Amino acid sequence: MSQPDSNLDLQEAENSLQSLSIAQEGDTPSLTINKQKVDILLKPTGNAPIMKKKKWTVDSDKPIGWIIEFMKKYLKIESQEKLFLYVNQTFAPSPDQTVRNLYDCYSTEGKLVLHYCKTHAWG
Amino acid sequence: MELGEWRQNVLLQLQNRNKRETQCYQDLITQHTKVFENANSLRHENLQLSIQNEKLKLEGGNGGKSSSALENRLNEEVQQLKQKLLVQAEELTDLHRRKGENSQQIIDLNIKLQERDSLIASKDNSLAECQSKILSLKAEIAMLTQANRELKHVNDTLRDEHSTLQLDFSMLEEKLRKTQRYFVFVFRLVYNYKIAWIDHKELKEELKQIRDQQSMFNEELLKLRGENEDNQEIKRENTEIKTELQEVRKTIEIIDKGRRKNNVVMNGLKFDNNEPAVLVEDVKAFLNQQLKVNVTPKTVTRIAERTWIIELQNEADKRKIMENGTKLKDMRGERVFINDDVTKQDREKQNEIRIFANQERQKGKEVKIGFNKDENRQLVERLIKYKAKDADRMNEENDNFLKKRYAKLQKDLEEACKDTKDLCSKDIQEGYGPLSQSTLPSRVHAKFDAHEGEVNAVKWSPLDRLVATGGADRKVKLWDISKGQSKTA
Amino acid sequence: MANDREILREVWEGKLPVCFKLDPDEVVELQQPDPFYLMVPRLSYFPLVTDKVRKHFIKYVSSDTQEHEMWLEYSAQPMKWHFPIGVLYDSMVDSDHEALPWVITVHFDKFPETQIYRFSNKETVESYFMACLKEADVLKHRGQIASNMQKKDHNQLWLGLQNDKFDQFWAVNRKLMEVSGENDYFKYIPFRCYIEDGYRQKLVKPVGDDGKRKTLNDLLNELFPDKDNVTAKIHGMIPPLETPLQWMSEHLSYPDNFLHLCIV
Repeated sequence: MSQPDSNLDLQEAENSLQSLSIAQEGDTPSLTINKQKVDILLKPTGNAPIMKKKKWTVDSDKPIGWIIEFMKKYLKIESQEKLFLYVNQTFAPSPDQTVRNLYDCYSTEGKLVLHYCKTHAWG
Repeated sequence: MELGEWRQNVLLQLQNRNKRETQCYQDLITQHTKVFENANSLRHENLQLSIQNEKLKLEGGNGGKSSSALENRLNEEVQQLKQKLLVQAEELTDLHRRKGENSQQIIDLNIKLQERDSLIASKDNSLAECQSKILSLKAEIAMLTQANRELKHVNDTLRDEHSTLQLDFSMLEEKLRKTQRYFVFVFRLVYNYKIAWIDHKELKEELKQIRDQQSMFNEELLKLRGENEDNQEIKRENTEIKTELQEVRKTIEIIDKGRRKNNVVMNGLKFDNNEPAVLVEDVKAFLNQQLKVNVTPKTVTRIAERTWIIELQNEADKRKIMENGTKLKDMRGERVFINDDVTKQDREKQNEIRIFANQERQKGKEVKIGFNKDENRQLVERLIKYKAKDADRMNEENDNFLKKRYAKLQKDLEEACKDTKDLCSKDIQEGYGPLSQSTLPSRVHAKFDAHEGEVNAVKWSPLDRLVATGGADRKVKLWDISKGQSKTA
Repeated sequence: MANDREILREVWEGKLPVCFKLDPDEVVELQQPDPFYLMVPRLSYFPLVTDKVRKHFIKYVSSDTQEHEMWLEYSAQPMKWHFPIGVLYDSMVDSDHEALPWVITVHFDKFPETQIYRFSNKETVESYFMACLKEADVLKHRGQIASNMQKKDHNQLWLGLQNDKFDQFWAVNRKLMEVSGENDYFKYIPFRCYIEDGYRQKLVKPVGDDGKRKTLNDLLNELFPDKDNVTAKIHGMIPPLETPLQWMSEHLSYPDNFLHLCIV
């Protein structure tokens, strides 16, 4: 798993976060239809802390690793700690897998549902 | 899933890839790894030795101060070790050189490989050309097969025609064969006819003989008939005599009956005096006393110890006695019976009546035998009827038997006549003669008095009209069938 | 069913000669270490075959970097360990102009965190491999077969790959390549198309709506509708465009059950 601990990388991640147009729930659909952005729904499993905001709109070119890092920062989890993401409650996508590929393959009703967990949940 | 050209393509590419990338390098790299490990181990050894050397040097330096002799020795040792080191270094350089050679070889091989690759590429090109050529050839083959197929078709039609022609031919041949067979048949017919002609002549002669025999038989038959008539006359006389005899018997019986008509037989009584006059008186008294019958017997005659025949005056007296006869029962503890004196035949008849009455009683009928003839008449009539039926049946059976015997005789005679007739008529009518006909023999053709004792074997000669016989008298005889005599013994 | 053993065998047999060289800047010894030659299976992963390489070079680097994770580099690009070796070679090396053996530089220092992920041990590689396998099964059978498999089947798959045992691996992998129920085809074809730096993945069915089976050409057209004459490379060869997708998935998939297609 990727563990970027250099300051430079953190900075970069935060920059990209700011650059994201984070869609609020019940936001205008024009943003979600955008070709470059996709909706993701983050659901906790097991002992994972709950996120206040579940639905996000993310740049489709971003890799899963980037989302994991973002979530760690959001949930204030130590970067050494592990955070696992699962698609379809079956498999963990590769950190270099792009959101776009996952959205193309596993989205339901226009949303990509990702379960997250602090321990191995499936498989 | 059907596999197409793409599968072949994929397989070829994979095989080429493995040849190019894997198989060329596999051995080379394993070889290299071996050499490499060798060099590594040697290097390691070298290192160890140099460390040892250093150690010894240090020891030598320390020892030099304490004693010069030791130093000298150490120096010598050092010298030796130096030499060893030198040898090792030489070895090492040698190994290095070899390694260099090996790498050079690898490079050379690589170059060669590349050359080979280019060669392979050119070969591939030529292969592709060849393949295109193959394709064109395949097309040609397809055309040729097409032509071949057409030719085959033509061939098929020709074959069909040929087969129809053959069929015609075979039909014609069949016809020819039929006519030939017919011809042979006709020829045989003619031939058979000739033979039949000869047979016919022989048969005529035989017929003549048979006719002679037949006339002989007829004569015999006539004779036998005459004898038969004589026999019948004798029979008639016989029956006449029999009837006369019966009449005589009847008259005798009647006379006997008349004589005994007034007699009575008394059993069981003993009289002391045997004088006829006294006896008559005694019997008269006895009858009067016991039976309350007043009769006077004519005579009393003793026939056994206690059996007496009493002759009465008339039939009325007898009747009186007989009717009261049953009163004699249980007199003086002794049994006295009075019976009718009858002829033997009458006694038999009475016995028969008694048996018959018993049978009737067993059947559940009420029958009483009395002296009264009226009472018995019915019973007697029934018996007579019964007997007459029996006699009728016997007569019928006898008649039937005679009739059958006569019919059989007649039939035998007729058959004997017919046999000769059949032989002459049929044999002449049919062309093939007796050869084609086989019938079971029903008459004796010839009779040979052959052997003393059993005849064990009889065999026909296949050639002549000869028969061989073998008997228990250990003789073999040959017989000429036509003559009926033995040739040799 | 994947029953063309001839093809499966040829795919499995593919090995590449590799020449490992330590980065000269990292050598602390006087003598430069000799290069290390190795035949590596195309279907395997680098962490599974480089134990010996590490052992060979570790003597020559400074003691403080000896504990570091070893990483590999080719033409100034760090190698992604989680890609099968064959995919790395097909996507990074221009095989028409570069001669074999494949020269790879070995590093112990300056791990490129931003470009590649760390792998602490072989278990990490295994869990990654298993995740790929499951994803492929989700695409093929809605994840029915892989999730119903026992732990020992997973182990057999992994050990078969690790120890280069064809029969051991295919005894289990056969089940994953079966088509479920009455269908003659997988639900979707699991594939990744490597282009430039990343890869593309999409839902592609092995049969069209008209019931006709799709080919590699259909897949490339669906993925790159605005591009013509796209050439895809897999296992060091270029499969014909008319090759059916179902057959390709059954016979040309890597052990993780994905078709890794490199666009050239």
